[in-house]
Formats: sequence, C-alpha cells, structure tokens
Amino acid sequence: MNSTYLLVAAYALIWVFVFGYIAWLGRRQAWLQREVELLRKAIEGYSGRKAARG
Amino acid sequence: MSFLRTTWALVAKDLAVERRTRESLNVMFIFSVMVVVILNFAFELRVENVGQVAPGALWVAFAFAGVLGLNRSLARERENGCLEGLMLAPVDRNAIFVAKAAANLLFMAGAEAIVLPLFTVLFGVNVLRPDLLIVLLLGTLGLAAVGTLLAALAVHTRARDVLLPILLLPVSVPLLIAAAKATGGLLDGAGLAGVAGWLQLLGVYDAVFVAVSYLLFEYVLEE
Amino acid sequence: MKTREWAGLALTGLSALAMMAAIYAALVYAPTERVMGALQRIFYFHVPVAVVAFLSFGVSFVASIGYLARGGRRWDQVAYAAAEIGEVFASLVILTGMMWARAAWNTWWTWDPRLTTTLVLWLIYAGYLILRGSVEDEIRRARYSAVVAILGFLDVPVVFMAIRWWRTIHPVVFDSSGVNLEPAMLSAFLISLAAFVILYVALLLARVRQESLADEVEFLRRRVQ
Repeated sequence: MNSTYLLVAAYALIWVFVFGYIAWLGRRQAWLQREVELLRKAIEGYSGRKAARG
Repeated sequence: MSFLRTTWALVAKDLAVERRTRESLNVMFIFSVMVVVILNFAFELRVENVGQVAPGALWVAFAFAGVLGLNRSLARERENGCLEGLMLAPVDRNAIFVAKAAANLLFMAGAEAIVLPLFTVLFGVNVLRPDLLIVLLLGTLGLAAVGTLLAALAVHTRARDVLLPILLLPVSVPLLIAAAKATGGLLDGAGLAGVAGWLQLLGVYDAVFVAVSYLLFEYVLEE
Repeated sequence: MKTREWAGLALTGLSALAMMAAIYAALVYAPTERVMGALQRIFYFHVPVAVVAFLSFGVSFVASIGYLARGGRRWDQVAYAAAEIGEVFASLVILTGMMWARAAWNTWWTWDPRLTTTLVLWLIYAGYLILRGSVEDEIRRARYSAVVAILGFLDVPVVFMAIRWWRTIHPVVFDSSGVNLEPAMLSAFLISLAAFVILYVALLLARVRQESLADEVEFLRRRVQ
C-alpha cells in the first residue's frame, strides 16, 4: 500500500518531537547548570574581594 | 461612592475624552472600511453570490477594528497613568472593569453603526435591519468584555499592540462563529427563531466570559 | 537529593519500557483493522497524545488558579511547564490528525470538532507562550499567564460546542473515527495511553525542576548586578 508512508510519517513525527523536546530540555539543563556555577563563582569572588578590602 | 455612580463617572470620563480626540472612533472606522473594501475585492473575484461571504466579512471587520479600538483605549490609559491613578483612589476595582468594558462596548458599537450603512453600500447586502441588532449586541458585548481584560494585560507587556490580537482572536472563535452564523441566518430570512441556537451560544459565551473577565480583571490591575 | 535522583531515573526507565511495550502493542500485537488496514494504527498514538495534551492544559489551568488563589513560585512553574509540554503534544495531535485524515478521507484537513478545537487551543497557548516571553517582571508574568491560561482553558468546551454545531449545518462528507475496538485493540490502546501518561509525568517533573533552576539563575543574576 503506497500510503503506508503516512503511518511511518506519523510515528516518526512523534519520536522526532518527543526526543527533540527531551534533547532541548537536556541542553537547556546543561546550560542552566553552567550558569549557576559561573554566577556562584562570580558572587564568591566578589564577596571575597569585599572581605579583603573591608 | 456607590458602585453604579463610580462606574457611570468613569464611563462618562472615557466618553468625554473620546469626544474631544475622536481617536478610537476614527481609527476603528477607517480600519473597518479598509477591511470591508479589501474583503470585497478578495471575494468578488471568485464568489458569485457575495451574500454568502457577507456575514463572515462583516464580523472579521468588526473583530479587527475592535482590536484596534481596544488597543488604543487601553494604551491611552496607560500613557496617562490613569489606571495607576484609579487604583490609588478608593474605587472598587470591579467598577473600573465594568466602566472600561462599557466604554469599549460603546466605542465598538459606534464604529459598527457607521460601518453598517457603508457595508450595505459596498457589499450590496442590506445589513441595516433591526433583527441584526441583537446579534450585534451579544457579539460586541463578548468582544468588549474579554477584549478589555486582555487589552489591559497586553498593554503592560513588551509586545503590546501585537499581543492583543494573538490572545483575543483564538479565545473569541466561538463568538465569531456564532455571530457570523446568526447574521448569515438572519440575512437568509431564517428569522430570530431560526437562529435561536446560535443566539443561545452567544448568550452562553457572554454569560461565562463576561463573568470570568470581571473576576480576573483585578489580577491584571495589581501592582 | 539522592532519593529524588533515583526516583527520576526509575521514572525514566519505566517510561522507556512502557513506550517500548506500547510500540510493540500498537504495531505488532494489535490486529489489523478491516476497513483502514495498517493505517488505522495511527489511532493508537494519536488519541493518547491528544489525551496527554488536554491533560497537560488542564494541569496548567488548575495550577494557574492555584497561583492566583495562593501565590508562590511552584504554582507558576507548574503552569508554565504544563503549558509548554501541552503545546508540544498539541502540535503532535494536529500533525498526526492530519496524517489520519489523509489516510482515512484523502484530505489533509477536516473541520472535525475535536481537531479544530485542538487547533484553537494550540493558538490560545501559543499566545500564552508569547505572552511569557513578553513580560520581564516575574510576578507580573506569572499573574498575566495565569489569567490567560484560565481564560483559554474555559474557552475549550465553548469552542467545541460552536464547532460541532457549525459542522452539523455544514455537513462534512465523513464522520469521526468511529472505530469499533476489539479487546486486543482496546488493550493495545490502553497500554499506549499508559505509556504516554507516564512519559508525560516524567517530562513534567523534569521541566518543573528545570524551571526552579532557571529561577535560581535569575536570582543569582540579580545578586551579581
């Protein structure tokens, strides 16, 4: 049947979306975690300098 | 001040401002005419019986013009700091909503009153009929209530003018369907009894969404 | 922290297993339907995805009410996460629905009430997501989003009624998927439904937790400035 491609397309689409979304979440998670580390270091550095000065 | 008197005072204020600047009314009117003309061109090239598309075209024009008017109405409030000022005054928040929605309703009705004869002329379809009034009233009421809520919200965002149509139009889909169908039915001679179902739907929509907008408005006003 | 990580891993594992079972059930175990043939199997994924989409929007609705009634970051995080995931699944409903329409009635779109309502709902929540991108102040953003989510979700039954009514007057040639389910088909469907719901729960939890992390980033950023 030449319209089986529809079934394949539908299933493929679902997996593309689901895995795509999971991948996007994963990338965002990694990025956010890096941001937290960087920001924390920046704050420590800042308060460290403050303590040294004050 | 009692609720009714406050509301009336606020509506009167809006009407007074509008009478002086005619900002909203002008914008809505010109835009409605533009939409009607463009739709006329768009459809006439293909459709034999223009009467078929007239109801839809009419309500598209009202919806888009309404969005413009709502935007202007609330943008002006924001520019002048009116909303913040009103919130400081000992005014019932709900009165502000009723007043704003009523004022917007009146403006939209005003624009419609001017568009209808024009539409009759340009489309060749007589929409100047008394039985259409109830459809117009119910439809505009719903648009004004939900539109006021969403416009007040949109005006406080970065996307501002762009956001209102994006938020309002999907939510008003049932209203627009019912209004267009009812209008079409009446134009086809079905009589008010014939379009009772659509009028009921409009009624349900209005009942639910006027109430919900009324309840949710205070959350939009909070600082 | 440890137990939460283990729970997360367990949930992910369970989700993967359930999904594999669902694929097997839908593609192999379930008997081929008489009328539509193999293409009917789209149904085993199309409907569960639709259920999850509406479930998610419902969660967003409830969380939005919770936010306006009680306040607190958690409600807003859930409302947002559920809206986003709902939108992803709604997109899938529409796309697979189009495949189904093409397979069953040789047309890419039908103004079927359920499909059209899903489209309108998709538009409403697209507005929600755009709104969220448009407000910087955290509290305002949460409040405005909640208002839109509540308004939008309440609209759904009315939209459905309107379109169904409209459709009976504009009769469309075909009817909705009135598939008679044999027991084996029913089990395949239920397995698939369970798999998608488990997947949904896993996604929602992960997304909400990520939103907490994003909040922390915002908080730290403001402290640095």
